[in-house]
Amino acid sequence: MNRLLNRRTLLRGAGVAIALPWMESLAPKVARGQAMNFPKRFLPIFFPNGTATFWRPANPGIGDAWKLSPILEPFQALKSKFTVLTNVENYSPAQADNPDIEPSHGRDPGVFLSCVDAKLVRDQLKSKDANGTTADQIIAQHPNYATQTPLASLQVGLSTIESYCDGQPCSLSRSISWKSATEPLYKEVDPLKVFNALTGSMAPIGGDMPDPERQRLADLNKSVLDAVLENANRTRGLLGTGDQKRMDQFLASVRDTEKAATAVSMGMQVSGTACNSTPAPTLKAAYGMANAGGGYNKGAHMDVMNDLIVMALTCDYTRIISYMLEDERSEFVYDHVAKRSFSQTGSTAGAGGNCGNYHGAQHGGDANNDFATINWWQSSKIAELATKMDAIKEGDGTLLDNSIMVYASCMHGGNHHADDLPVALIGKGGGVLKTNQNVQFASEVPLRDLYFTIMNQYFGLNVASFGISTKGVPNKLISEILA
Amino acid sequence: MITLKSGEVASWLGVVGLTLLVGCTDAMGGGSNHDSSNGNTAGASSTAGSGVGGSVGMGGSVGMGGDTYVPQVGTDPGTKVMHRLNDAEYNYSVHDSLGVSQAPADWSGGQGELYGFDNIAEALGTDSKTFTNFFNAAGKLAEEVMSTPALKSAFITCNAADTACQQTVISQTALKLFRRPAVPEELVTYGKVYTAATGLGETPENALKHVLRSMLSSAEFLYRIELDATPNSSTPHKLGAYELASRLSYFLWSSAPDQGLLDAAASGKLLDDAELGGQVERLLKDTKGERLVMNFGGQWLSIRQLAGHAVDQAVFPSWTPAITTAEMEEAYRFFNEFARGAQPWASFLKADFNFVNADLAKLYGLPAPAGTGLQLVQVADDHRFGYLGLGAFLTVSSYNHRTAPTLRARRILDQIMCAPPPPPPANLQIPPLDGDSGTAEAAQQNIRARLEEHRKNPVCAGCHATFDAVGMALENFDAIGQYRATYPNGTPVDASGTIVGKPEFVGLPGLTDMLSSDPRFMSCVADKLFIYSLGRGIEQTDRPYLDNVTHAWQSPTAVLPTLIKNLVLADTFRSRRAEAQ
Repeated sequence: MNRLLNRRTLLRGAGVAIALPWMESLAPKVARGQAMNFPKRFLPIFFPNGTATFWRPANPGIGDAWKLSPILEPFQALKSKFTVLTNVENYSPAQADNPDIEPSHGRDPGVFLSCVDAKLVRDQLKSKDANGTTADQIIAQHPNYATQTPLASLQVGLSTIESYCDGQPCSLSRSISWKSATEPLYKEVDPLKVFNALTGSMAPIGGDMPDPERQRLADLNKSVLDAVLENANRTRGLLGTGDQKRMDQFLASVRDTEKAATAVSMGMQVSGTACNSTPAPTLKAAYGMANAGGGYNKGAHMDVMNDLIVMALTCDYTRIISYMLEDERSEFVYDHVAKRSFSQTGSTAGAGGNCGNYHGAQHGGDANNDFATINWWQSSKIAELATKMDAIKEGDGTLLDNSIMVYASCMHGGNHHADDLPVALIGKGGGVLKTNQNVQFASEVPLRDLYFTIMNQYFGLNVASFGISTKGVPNKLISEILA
Repeated sequence: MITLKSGEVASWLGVVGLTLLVGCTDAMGGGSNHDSSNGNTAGASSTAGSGVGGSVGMGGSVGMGGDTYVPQVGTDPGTKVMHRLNDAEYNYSVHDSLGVSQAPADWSGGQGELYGFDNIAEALGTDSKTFTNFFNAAGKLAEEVMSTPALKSAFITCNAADTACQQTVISQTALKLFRRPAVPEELVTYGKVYTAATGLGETPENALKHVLRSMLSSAEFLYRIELDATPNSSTPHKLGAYELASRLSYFLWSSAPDQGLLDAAASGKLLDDAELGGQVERLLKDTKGERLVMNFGGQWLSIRQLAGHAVDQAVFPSWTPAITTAEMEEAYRFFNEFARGAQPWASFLKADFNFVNADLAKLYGLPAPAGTGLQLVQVADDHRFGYLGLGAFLTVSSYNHRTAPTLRARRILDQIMCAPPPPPPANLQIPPLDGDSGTAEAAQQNIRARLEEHRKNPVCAGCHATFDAVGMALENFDAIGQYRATYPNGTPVDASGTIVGKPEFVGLPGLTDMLSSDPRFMSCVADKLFIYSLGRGIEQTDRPYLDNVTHAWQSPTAVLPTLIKNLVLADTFRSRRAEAQ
C-alpha cells in the first residue's frame, strides 16, 4: 500500500514543495476589477469532533438557490461571502479505502492541515513526534510572505483542559500548525500572551526614534545572545546528527528572537488606516480552567481572542493565523451555552438546560441538540469574528474580502470518519473565490486540493504538490470554488 | 479495522495462557511481555498496610525493604536526545540554583506530551515563541538576583571589577546552571558578554547580570545535553558522573542536582553502586521528593487533570470547587505514602486510610476532623479504601453529571494496569446514553440499564463486557465520589460483574482483589516510572531490563523506593549510546 510513498513523495508531501518552472495551469487568477495589492490573509479554523447532521445544507446551489443549514445560519448576513464544500475527504493521506483512521481523535487532527499521515513521517524520520509541514506554514515561510509582517504567522486557541490524546503524540491533537516535520507550533490560549506577542513584535526598543540609549540596550541584547549562539554552535559540534538538527532549531529560534531584541527602528509599516490596538486583555485563560472555574467563561475567552485576531490583522502584525477552537477530542463542558432545539429547517432557543460535555455530545447521535448547539454556538462566534473583519474597509472592499478562512473539522461527526468533512470557506480571497454557494462534489475531493488551490490561486506560491495520496493521485485545482 | 468476535474477550486478566484476543486483547495484552506463568504474586488484599508512616504533610519515611536484586548489565541502554527543560523543571531549576522566588515558566500548558508525560525529550523542542519566553524570563530572573542582597552575594562572591572574579562567577554559575563545570571556551564566551557590557557603560556588577542573562538563555542550561565521546558510534557507554547526577535529580526532584550530588559527581563517587543507591534514598527523603509525587503521580494518575474537571452543580448542588482542591490534595498525599516508601505498593488499591478536611469528610460521610487542613483518618466500615476509592479518581473518571463506567474502566486498564483498551471499532454508531432527555435526567438513572445498549450490538459487546464490568464495580460511588447504595431514581446499585474466565466480583473489594493479584499491577508502575525517569518511550530492547527489575520486585512488602533504586542502578539508566547512523 505504501509502495508509492517513496522518499521523494514523502518529502514533497511533508511540505518541501519542489519548485518547478512556472506552470501556466497554476497561475493565480486575478479577478476583474479587483486590486491584488491588499494583504492576503489565511485563517484555518479548526473545531474538533465533527458536526451534527444539521451542518449540511439541504441542497447544492449558487446564490439564492441554496440556503444555509441550521448550524451555519449565524452566517446569514455574510452569505454572499460564504461557501460550503460538501463531500470533502482527508483520509486518503493515511489509508487508501477506509475513511476510519483509528485512533481517529489522535490521528485525524494531525492530517488536518498537513494532509500527511504523521505515522508515515515518524517512520520515515525514525522520530517519535513528527508530522508534515502544514499549509499555513508553507505560505508563511514562502519568501514572498515570510518577511512582510513582524510575525510570519500566529497560532491561537481556546483549549483550557488537558485533552486525551488517544495514545498518539499530543502534538497531533493539540496543535494544527507544523513549521517543519519535527516542529509543532502550539497555539497560545492566554489572551495576554497573544497580545504581548503581537505588540512586542511591533515594539522595537524605544519605538521608532532611535537614540543612543536604545541603541545601547540593543547592543547589550546582542552581546547576550551572541554568546548564546557562540556556545550553542560549539556544543553542536560535539553532537550526533539527530541532536545537531535539534540544536539547529534552537539556533534558528535564537536568531529570530535576536532580530526582535536588537531592532531599534520601526521595521514594519502598519498597513491601512484602521489599526485600532485594543488594550491589554485582562481575561485569564490557561490550561486547567473549566467554565466557572476561577471565573472562566469560554464565551468571554472567545470574544477576547476574536478581538486579538482582528487587531493582528488590521494592524498587519501577521496575515496567517491558525485558530483551534478546541483540542481534538475535547471534553470541555459547554454549560455556558443554552441548548437549542434543531430541525432540518432551523433551530430555536429554549430546548431546556445547557450543553454538556463536547465529546460526550459527539457520541450522542448525529441529530442530538447538545452536539448541534455546540456547533451552532461556534458558528455564531466565528460569524462574529468574520463580521468584524468585514467591517474593516480596504479599498472598495473589506478585510474579509481579502481573506480566506477555512472553517472545518478533521472528522465527519459521530462516526469519527475523515470523509464528508464539514468544510466552509469565509471571505472572498481577493475575488479569487466564487462565493455564496454550496458545492456538492459528485465524487470525493481531497482536502489537500483545497489548500493546494488556495496556495496557488490566491497566494501564487507555484506549489507543485501538497499532501499525500496513498494512491498516488496528483493534486488538482478545485475549479468549482474559483471565480 | 478491528474485527472482533463476540465472546472472544475471554480472560484478559487471566494469569494463565494469555492468548489475548483480537481487538480488545491486542491492546490489553500489548506491551506486556511478562511470562504470565511467573505471575505468582501474593494477593495484596491480605497484606493491606495497617500503619501509615510519614503521614503528616508529605514527609518521606523511606523504606527500602525488598527482594534481592542484581542490576542488569550489558543490555542496550537506548538513545536519548537532548532534553529541554519543561515548565516545572525550569521553575525548579532556577529556584534551586539561584534562590529566586519567581516561577516564570507557565508557557507550555497542553503542549508536548508523549506517553502521558510532559517530560519526554522528543516532544520538547524550542520554537521562536518559546525561546523568546526564555530570553525574557532570563532578564527578569537576573534582575531579581541583582536586587535581592542575599541572592546577589551568592552570585557575585568577589570584587566584580577583577578579571579573575568575573571568571570565578562564570565558573560557579555554570556549575549550577549547566550542571557541570564550564569548559575553558565557555569562560571565554561568557567573558565576552562581561567585556561588551562594561564597554557599553555597565558597572562591573551589572555586566555580570548580563552574563547571567546569557547563561540562562543558553542551550546548555535549557537542555540537558549528554555527550558521546564518539557521536558516530552507537556502542553503549557509561554516562559521565555529572550527566548521571542530572538524570537522577531531574527524575526525583524535577530539578538540577544540589551541592551534594555535584560533590558526588566531582569525586566520581556517584558512579559507585552504594553511593548511587544512597543518593536515591537521600533525594526521595528530601522535601523535594514531593515533586516526584506531584509531577510523576500527578500525570500518571490524572490528579492534575482534576483542575480542569467540571462538575454539573445543577446535579450536585453540594459540590464546590474547594472539594476538588481537597480531592487533589488527598490524592497527592495518598500517593506520597507509596512513592516515598511508607506503604508497600501491593496495598495501593487496598490500603484503608484517607486524608480529609471538613469538606471532604462531609462528602465521604465521615465526621469532620479536628485541626486545619487535611487530616489522616482510618475508618474501617465506610466502604471506601484504596486509590480507586479516592474522590479524586472517582471524580476525574466521571462525566460532569454522571458516572461513566466505561471511562473508569479505561483509566484503570490503561493507567493502572498498562493494558489500554482499543478504540471503538470502525463504522460504529455508539448508542446515546444521555440523549435529548437531558443530562439532569440521565444523572438520575441507573447506568447499568442504559449500558445494556452497549451490549446489544455484538461488535460492542466483546469489549464492553469486560470494561463495563470493571467500571460497574465502582457504581457505589457517584460522579463526585460520594458513596451511594441507590441511584437517584431509587433503583439499587448493582456493582457485581463477571469477566469470562474469572470468578464474579462485587464492588470495590472484589474489583481490587482481582486487580491487585494480576501481575500487570506490579509491572505497570515500573513501566510508567521507566518512561518518566528517562524521558523516552519503552522500546522492545528495554523489555529484558524491565523484566529484570520487576521480577525482583514482587513481594507483598515491596515499596516503590526499592523499585526506583533498582531502575536507577541498572545500566539502562546509567549508560547511553549515540543514535545509529
